[in-house]
Amino acid sequence: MKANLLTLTAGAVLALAAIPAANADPADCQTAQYGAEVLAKFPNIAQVCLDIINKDGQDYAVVKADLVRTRPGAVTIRPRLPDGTRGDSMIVRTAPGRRVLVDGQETRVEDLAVGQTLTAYVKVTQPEIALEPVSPSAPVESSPMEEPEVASAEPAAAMPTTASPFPAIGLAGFGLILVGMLLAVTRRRSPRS
Amino acid sequence: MLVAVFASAQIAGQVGRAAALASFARAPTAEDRALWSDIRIREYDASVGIDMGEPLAVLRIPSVNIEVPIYAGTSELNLNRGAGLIEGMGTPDGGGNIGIAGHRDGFFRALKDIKPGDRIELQTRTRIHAYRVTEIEIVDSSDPSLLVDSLDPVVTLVTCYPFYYVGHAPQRFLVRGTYEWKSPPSPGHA
Repeated sequence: MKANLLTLTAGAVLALAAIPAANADPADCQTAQYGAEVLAKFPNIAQVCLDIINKDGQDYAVVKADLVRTRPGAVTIRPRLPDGTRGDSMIVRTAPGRRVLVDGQETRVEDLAVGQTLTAYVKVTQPEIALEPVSPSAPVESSPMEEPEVASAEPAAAMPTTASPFPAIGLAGFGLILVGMLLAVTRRRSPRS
Repeated sequence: MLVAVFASAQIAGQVGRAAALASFARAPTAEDRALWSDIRIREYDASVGIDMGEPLAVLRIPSVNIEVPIYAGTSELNLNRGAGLIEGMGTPDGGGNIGIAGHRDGFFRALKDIKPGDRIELQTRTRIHAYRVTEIEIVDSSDPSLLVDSLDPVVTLVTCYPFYYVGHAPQRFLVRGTYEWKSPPSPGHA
């Protein structure tokens, strides 16, 4: 009896988890009325979009993206394009302690790491973006889409020294000993006046 | 019960990965140190009593048999006990240009045999990041151009060059690796 109940519960959980996938309709992505600012900042959104969902009266395009960088308070993502390449990078602001869904697991934003694939929600009418919230009932906490980050052209660090000078000091000492011995021999051989 | 099983698996995974990192407190074997200079071996041995704590990550390059703990910063102690994460650059989990320095007469001497296409792994507490060697360069020691920031994750290994040289070597041997992304998921809303 207990086993049956467990099976039923597990089945119900899996069925609930599968609902968004079953309802996904990429066709909606093509007909969505994207705002001009959204298209300016994310020109290929219709191609990248996997689904359109509505949360709290607002339409969002669902996209998959690779996490390329994390910093306190922000992550940088690159959306996956249909041909397997990655689109322009964009920054998603993340408040400390916020939790998001990664591969179906609730994850603190501080624990996000390079290489993870994230699900992001892009507002259809305004250039705002958010990471997938932990549950369907959780609010979507979006922030304005920011211009692609430009890496600094200045070196972040000076070249480190990766060998000690001790061998050179030792060699110099050995050289001085040889010179000393040579001088001593020369003095002994020279005729005394 | 399902939650308990899931939580147990997660905890076991975390503990296992932490233990894997901590295990690098062990001394490298004679085989590991076959290429090291006598001075490097002595300096390593002299520092063994110092507690280094858990390394930030472990660097592995299977093709040249390198397996070395990575510590924060390039202090002499850190470079005697492992490799050092260059300050001001990226981090293994955070991305950017991750600069890692090592002694040319110690852990990094085996880099002399590395080739483009070789795999570089960075194991942190939570993940194993894979990189592929794309560039090998020898530059002047005053040229930090390969230490510039990067938007995408890359790893830059730095050691002195020539590998066999008495005194401060005038050049640097740099190995650049680019991130190996997992293949994209199948189409559809995963």
